[in-house]
Amino acid sequence: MGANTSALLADEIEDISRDCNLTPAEVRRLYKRFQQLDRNRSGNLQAEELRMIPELAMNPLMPRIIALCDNANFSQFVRTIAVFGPNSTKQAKTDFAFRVYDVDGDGFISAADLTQVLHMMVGEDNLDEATTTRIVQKVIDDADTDGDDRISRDEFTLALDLVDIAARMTVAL
Amino acid sequence: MECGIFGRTAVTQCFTAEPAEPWNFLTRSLPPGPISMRPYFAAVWLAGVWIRYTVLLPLRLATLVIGLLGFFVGFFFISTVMPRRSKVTIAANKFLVRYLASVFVASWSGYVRYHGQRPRPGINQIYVANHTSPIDLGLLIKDYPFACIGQRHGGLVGALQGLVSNIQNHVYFDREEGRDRAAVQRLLTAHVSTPGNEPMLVFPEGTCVNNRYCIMFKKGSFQLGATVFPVAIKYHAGFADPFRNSSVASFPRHLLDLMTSWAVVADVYYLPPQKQRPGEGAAAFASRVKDLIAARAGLTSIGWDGFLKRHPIAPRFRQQRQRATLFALSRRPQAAAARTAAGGTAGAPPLNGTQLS
Repeated sequence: MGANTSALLADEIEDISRDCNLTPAEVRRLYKRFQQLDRNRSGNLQAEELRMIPELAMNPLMPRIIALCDNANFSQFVRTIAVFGPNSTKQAKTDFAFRVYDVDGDGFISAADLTQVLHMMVGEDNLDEATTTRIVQKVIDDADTDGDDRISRDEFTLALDLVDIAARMTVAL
Repeated sequence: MECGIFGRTAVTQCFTAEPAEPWNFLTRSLPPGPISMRPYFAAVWLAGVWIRYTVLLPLRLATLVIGLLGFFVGFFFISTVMPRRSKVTIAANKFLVRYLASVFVASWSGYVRYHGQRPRPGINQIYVANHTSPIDLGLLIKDYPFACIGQRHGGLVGALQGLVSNIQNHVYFDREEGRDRAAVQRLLTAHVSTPGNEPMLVFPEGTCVNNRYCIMFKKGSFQLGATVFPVAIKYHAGFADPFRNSSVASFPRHLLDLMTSWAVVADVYYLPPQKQRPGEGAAAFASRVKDLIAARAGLTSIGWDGFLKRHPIAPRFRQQRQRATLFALSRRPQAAAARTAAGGTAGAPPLNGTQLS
């Protein structure tokens, strides 16, 4: 195989391995995968390269995931993936999910954020505006406990406690 | 359907060479990363390296050179001395093509066993096989001078293509022309229905796969109304890794790798001919033949289209998922709305499921 891990210094591997709670072997495997994804060998994963992954391109939330991973170098790539490892905390996983929904990145999921995500999930033209607004409002009303008409991180965590998010967002690395 | 896409996908595992178990003393077949060997192993490995590079490689190169010389002499003789159109000349040319293939196979110390009914000339026949490397052609042509269809390549492969075109009819097209399925179909049909042409050999996977999996067969060859003869090719990975990863190795480099391996050992199985059943669509027919080949060669059948190796997937798959989500939402609006916040995150990101590796 073309991948050579000599380009990735041993102490870089150690750093990443320590920070993300992965074994060095896992980090090397991820590096090989990173190199496969990075087709133009720029050292960063661009949106175009991420879109070449069939399962990702099929995912309705693809724009959000790409936004979170765009222009990632290997270190950032691993930190993103590590969220899905078995050693990562439930809070880290919930945080990642929160960032997917928080489109404008202001730390709160507002009605506008949710509308955008909902449009991505069902297809923009498939749901009329009234229904969309109704669904979005219902979601916020259900989760919003402090009445500011948007979902904060804590409210989100609380809402996700209903679903076993940790199990669903875990992959063996 | 969800896979650990950032680690390993159903697509990429087909295009990664798998390490040989147990180790065959070739460091190239080990997974990447620093290699540590116990001293005894290291000694045997070094001896192996010495044998392969200083004994086997020169012998094989010599075989190749002498064999090629013989080919050119024969080619020159036939094209100048023998009459153009006679049956004897044609037969001699075909023998020459098979000889050339044997030269190549010999240059890798190839040992190929053929099973089943040997191909015979006939009209409306098409042979389909699984694809691991361009050397599949060597193995098959050594036994029978098939006509080939394929993309025009440059470099060494292109030169070989040009050479064999002079001897018998083959079909070549450019990669872009290859996208025009109708054009390729026409070329195929024309060749297959012309008497006097050798049966066509096609690799319906469209790309090289690592000889552990068998990816989707493109249905083009299966809608010509011709009889399909499946051929299964299985390499014994312990002797050499036959998989040609075009993003890693050029063709000459691939040949060199083979020449410095232990040997190329393969089984070729000619399976009984298959005809399209009434009411069976071309895609279903292709899938049926693929399963026959995969079963015979011991490969795992996978549905992915090899096209995805180099091209992004069509948007309609994403649209399908969107419609499914919409359906789920509309069925139970209240409950689903509440669950969207909680469960949508779990369902939507694709990063759960199979192992990363």
